[in-house]
Amino acid sequence: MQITFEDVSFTYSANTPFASEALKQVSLTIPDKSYTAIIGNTGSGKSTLTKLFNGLLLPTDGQIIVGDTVVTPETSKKQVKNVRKKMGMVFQFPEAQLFEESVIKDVMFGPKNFGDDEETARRKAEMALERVGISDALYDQSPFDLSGGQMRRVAIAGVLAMEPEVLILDEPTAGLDPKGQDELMTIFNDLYATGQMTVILVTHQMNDVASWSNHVIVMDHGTCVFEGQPTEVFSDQEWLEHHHLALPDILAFREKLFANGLSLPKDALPLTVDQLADQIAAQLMSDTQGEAVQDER
Amino acid sequence: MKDNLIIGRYIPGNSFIHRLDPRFKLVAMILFMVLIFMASGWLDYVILTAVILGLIFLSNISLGVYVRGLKPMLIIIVFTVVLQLFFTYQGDVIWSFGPLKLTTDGLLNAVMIFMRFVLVIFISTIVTLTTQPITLTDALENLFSPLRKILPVHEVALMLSIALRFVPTLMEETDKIMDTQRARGVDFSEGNLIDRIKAIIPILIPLFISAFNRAYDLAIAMEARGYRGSEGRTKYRQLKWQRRDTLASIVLIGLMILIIWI
Repeated sequence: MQITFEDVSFTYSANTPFASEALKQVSLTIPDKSYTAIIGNTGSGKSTLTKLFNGLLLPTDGQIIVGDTVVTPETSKKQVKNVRKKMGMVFQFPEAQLFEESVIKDVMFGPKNFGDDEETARRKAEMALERVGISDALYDQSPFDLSGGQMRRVAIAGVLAMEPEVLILDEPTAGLDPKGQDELMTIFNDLYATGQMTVILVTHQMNDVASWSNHVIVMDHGTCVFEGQPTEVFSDQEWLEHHHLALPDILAFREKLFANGLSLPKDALPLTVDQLADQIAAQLMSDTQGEAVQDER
Repeated sequence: MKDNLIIGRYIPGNSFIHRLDPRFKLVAMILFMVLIFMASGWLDYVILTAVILGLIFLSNISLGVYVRGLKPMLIIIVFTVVLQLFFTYQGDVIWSFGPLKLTTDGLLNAVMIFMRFVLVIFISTIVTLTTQPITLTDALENLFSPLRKILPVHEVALMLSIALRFVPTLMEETDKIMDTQRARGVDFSEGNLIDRIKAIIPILIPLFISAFNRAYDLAIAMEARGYRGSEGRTKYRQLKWQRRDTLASIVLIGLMILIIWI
């Protein structure tokens, strides 16, 4: 499902002395079935943007086109609920949303709110729990007896059970150990690759942007300053610094190799360790071949 | 919603009122309220209104902010004033319709009740707008310290200051949880009374759980930093009685005598 912003502005507490403008005339497109990363400094409007995606906030100006629905400042609550059903939103620290007496009931909560009967909801919940790797032995336990990582998985399953077309993730791995982070990111990537879900990831982790996303939006001071490929955004280090962003580890390492005189292809940006390793290997190979040629002479 | 709420808000500043001792402000506020309820004649109200307008001017905060503070109380004020207007049966009748009578006494009472409400709200707003909540709890602890033998004054003050500190945090948390549940399809503004009460459960339970966790973490952090209770503690924020407080007290006493005498 494609999401398009057309000149969208948003002001908190509009028409009061405490008004503050969070988004200024933002225009952007999130392509259907893309894995979009939204990055930007703290306070750049990322969270406001995600709340606009699923109608938790309505724009104060401009319009948002979600699939075939147009959301404007005048859109009614009922229409917004239709949009919300298609948008799964995983907030920061989503384990704070758990409240039911058992894991399975909590995951069934979302589907039931959107009109599913008990049986369908349970089926959807079981599928979602399986997807995030929670075994059926835990279904009847209280969600508050689980570990932090398991609670987060249950919370995410609660969103997946609604079978959204778009999955919005606001720093989903914050506060997890490296293994847990990796497992979660792999689950999201599987959803993107197999389930044909559009994934939107809000993050500060440039490594995640480089290794998972195929579309990047950079926010700064309430405006969208970049929209395009990850390789494009990471090609200009000065521009990144200007917007208070950093290079992913791989590219930072590559810069060091450059600084020490290793010549690598300048235009082909590696985004994964494998790609960089291949480039270095190819370079070393051609160097040794060059030396071999010299030796023969 | 909370952006429009003036009650309990503190607006930083450095006016004469801001710098007064919070203990004096608390006591003066209570005395002022007693005065407002004791006032009976026209002259009393004129004097009190003039004094409170003077205080508002001294506080360096625009009158508009105070007037906005009246808004949440508007229904109660209007209700009481209308009752007074039409259900006072003494005095000359100006206009009547069935049991409704508009009398001169009723008119007078209504105006007085209205003034009472406005003045009481203004005086308490002056105190809350110009005093940091944390210094207010310091003042309360200090004022109640003579009762240390029979009341756990320090503990109550500690609970008060922790509670005040966590009001904004919990508000933020509530907003966040409401957003997450709304994203899961809960509708807070739809359905009948029972539906709406049911919709509160998914907010209330996570909020309580997080409050328990927060309390647990805070208690551990306090113990780790050596908190042992009230015995033998020193104070970082010291309350100092200054010359302007004495001056203000004299003015207040003068005013009280004046009102009672009139």
